[in-house]
Amino acid sequence: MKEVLRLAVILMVICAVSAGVLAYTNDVTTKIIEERIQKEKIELLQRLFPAVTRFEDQEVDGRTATLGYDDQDNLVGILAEGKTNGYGGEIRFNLAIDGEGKLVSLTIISHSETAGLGSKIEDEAYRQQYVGKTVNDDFDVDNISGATITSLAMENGVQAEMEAILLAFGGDLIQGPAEIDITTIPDGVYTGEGKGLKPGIKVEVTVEGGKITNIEVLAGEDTPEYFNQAKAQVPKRIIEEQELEVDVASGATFSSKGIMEAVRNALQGAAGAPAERELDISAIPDGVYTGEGKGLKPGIKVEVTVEGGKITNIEVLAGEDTPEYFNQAKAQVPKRIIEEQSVQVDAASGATFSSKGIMEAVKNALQQ
Amino acid sequence: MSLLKEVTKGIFKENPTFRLVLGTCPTLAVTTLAINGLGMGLSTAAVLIASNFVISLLRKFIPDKIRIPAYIVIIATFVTVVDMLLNAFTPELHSALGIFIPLIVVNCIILGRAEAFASKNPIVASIADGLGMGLGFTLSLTIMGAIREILAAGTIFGVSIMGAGYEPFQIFGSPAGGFLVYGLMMALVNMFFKKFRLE
Repeated sequence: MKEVLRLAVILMVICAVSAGVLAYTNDVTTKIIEERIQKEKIELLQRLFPAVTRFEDQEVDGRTATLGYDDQDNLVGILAEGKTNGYGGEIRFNLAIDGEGKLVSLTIISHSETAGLGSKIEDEAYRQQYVGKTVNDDFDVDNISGATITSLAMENGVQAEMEAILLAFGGDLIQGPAEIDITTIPDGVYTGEGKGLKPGIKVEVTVEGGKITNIEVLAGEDTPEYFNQAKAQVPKRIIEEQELEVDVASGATFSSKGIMEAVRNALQGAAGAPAERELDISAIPDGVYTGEGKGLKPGIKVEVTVEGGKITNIEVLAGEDTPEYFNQAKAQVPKRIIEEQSVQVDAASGATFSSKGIMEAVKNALQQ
Repeated sequence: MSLLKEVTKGIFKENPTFRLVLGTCPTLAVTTLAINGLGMGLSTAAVLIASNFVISLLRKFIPDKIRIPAYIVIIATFVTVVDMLLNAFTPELHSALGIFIPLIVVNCIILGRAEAFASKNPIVASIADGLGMGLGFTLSLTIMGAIREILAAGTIFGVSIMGAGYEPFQIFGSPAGGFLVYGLMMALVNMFFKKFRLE
């Protein structure tokens, strides 16, 4: 017993002394190492954004970034880390975004993707594909064959992280959408789409007397847990404030932004422009109406018969488009409009322009 | 005289890499460039001298039954210190040596010398042994690194020496090339020892 204790004490003493030595060395070197890492970062930043003269490290929502400013204090570059889940685990990468919101460099910090396949994300040629993109661009780059999951993770991850970084640090760098003056929007119901974490958010916005009076969120693919929060809060706020940019629902940033984007898209173009209003067919008195539309060429004429609040017949009287296509549209579109009682139906495939022209003509006929 | 012998035996007669065949894993892995071999060798030498010194100093204090854990703790401490110092002062070498620095802990040269020499010999002799073994290891690794660098890249310590028309043998930069060079070097050394009957 005594012997065991003696051994234990001796070993403990050795360990304690070791711990002391390590703590001291750590103390001395940590500062030097950190300074060096900082210096390397600054040099990197200067290489990426030559105009940079001053740096600042910022932290927003647990995300840190190095922001570079030029001598006039304009933000000219952001360097921040992003991550995404690849095939083998987390992929960490550095994104450098310049003062115009363009990606100037993508470098991989670490990954555990399959060697020889997914590991090709490290290749210059692959990473170069992302350079020059803004967050609104299509991030569909050439995939690495044999590493589809890795490729998709990179495409989605880089774009999502770039957006998140810009939202967090470079609000001004995202190209601001045109101002929309709500008061100039004619009364009507408008629909629009937006992208949250996933695309497919649909909203229906009702405008009455120059005000947004109602917003229905029709669809959305984001995780319901968060999406419902955004759905409950964002439309209410937009209506209250009569603003298209409102505070996001906390914890549901992407869904919130998606809803705002959808509302904006719904109203975009409507402001100050003639109403693109929903036609309430049931309110149209019985009668025969004629209207004109433009397919590939102008001059599509239709005669629409309305009876009992319903479109009962559509005659296509004239049209200058190539007969081969126009006849397809003529055969399909009026039938669909009557079936669906809507002026917005699927186009005849291969005859999109002619189809749209017929729809336009019908709409014009009924809108008088 | 005997001290000098302790030093030279590690460099030549008991060269750890080619004669004792200790520490082959880092030998094969890091010797892609002469500078890496030199760096790894010197790091190992530093740890070896320090651990030999301390272990020899404590050889009467450390009971036989717990000597292995005690040695490991001491060696690990020195390795970690070297790791931190390299990271702070020579970051490029640190990133080149990477995982092999922590692996010095389990490098058989170090535990081997602690067990075979430092635990039985006085302090000065142990330091001399560590120095010799360390220099021998450094020398072998640097030579191997130089050979592989010349063959694989046409440079030595980063300086181009083979002219522009040189077609590099890329295999010597890969692990397979490491085995080839190691094997040929060992054959040469053995031939040399046989010829001059130094055994």
